[in-house]
Amino acid sequence: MNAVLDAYHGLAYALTTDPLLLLASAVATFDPFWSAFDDDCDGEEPPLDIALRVTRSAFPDIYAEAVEHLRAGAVYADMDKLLCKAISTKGIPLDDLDMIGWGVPMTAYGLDLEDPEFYAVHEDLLPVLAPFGLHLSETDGYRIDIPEAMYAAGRAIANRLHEQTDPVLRQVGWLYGWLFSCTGNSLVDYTDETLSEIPPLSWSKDDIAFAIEVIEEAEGIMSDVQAGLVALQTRPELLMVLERNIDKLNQYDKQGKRHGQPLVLEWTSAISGAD
Amino acid sequence: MSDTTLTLEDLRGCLASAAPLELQGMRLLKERPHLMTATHPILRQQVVKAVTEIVAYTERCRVAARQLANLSPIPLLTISLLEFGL
Repeated sequence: MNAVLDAYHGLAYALTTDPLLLLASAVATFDPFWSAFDDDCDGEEPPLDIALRVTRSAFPDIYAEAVEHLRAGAVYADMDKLLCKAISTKGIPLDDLDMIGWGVPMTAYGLDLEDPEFYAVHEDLLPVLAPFGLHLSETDGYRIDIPEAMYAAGRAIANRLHEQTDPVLRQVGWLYGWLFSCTGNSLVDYTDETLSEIPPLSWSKDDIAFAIEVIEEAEGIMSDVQAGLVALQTRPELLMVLERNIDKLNQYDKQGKRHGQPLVLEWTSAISGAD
Repeated sequence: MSDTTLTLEDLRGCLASAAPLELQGMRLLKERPHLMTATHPILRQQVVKAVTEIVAYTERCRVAARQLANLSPIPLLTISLLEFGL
């Protein structure tokens, strides 16, 4: 060992012999950014500063790893990759550190049924929307006119399916909840455009916890949506029961409601597979 | 006003007599002083615990320092601190 390293290790040891110096060394070693950030940060700081501030307050394990890498001489690109991956693992999808200043990134899964381009990408959804009376024609231009009654019927069916105990029926309920934007989860119900009009969540501890909860819930719903779609595509009897109930609902809206009769929808044959 | 008198030295002595803080990070450094050179990596879990504790500690210190900086004058009715007497 050369003299310089020797002295370095000697100093490191000496720092541990006095309680105050030991405390200062511990802070410098484990929390070197303890005084680096103002209380009233406005999101205008460099992305790496924001990431260190955020991880320091909300994800100490990521902060510890980041400090370790910085001490080892990691460059910005390495830190970008490390922090994005680690924050995404926590449930917040961060692809680029440059985006961190905008607030907690969130993905909107919502759709616009009146946008013809939607069906160009999701042609597979046309058969499950057809029972509600949605049929595309070549004359549909920039917007498709969907009557409010169709949304109302879609939401009513989604709600009725959610009341069922059968998991497949509930998955189909999530499918229609997504299609008619009535799941109650903003990420599932809002389109990118709608979500962009809402101020993003901040990187405060509470907002992060809330974001993780909403994102997790949205991912769970979208997984059920996919399962519901597969069920409708692979079980024709399910689609038939659905069609029957949609007809019943439409009839009820036209006649039954006037007489105050309760609407009774029948789903058991969908579960048993009997028609 | 009572007869109790406290000098600045007494006050300093009083604060200095507080037991030294014991944080996990300090213990880690004491056990392995060369940790700062990063040549002896230790368990990530231990580091995370140490970081979490020290971040909480430094935050408490920051809050305390901010509160002290904005402290309203406190009338000492039973103690006479000569250096700050009016």
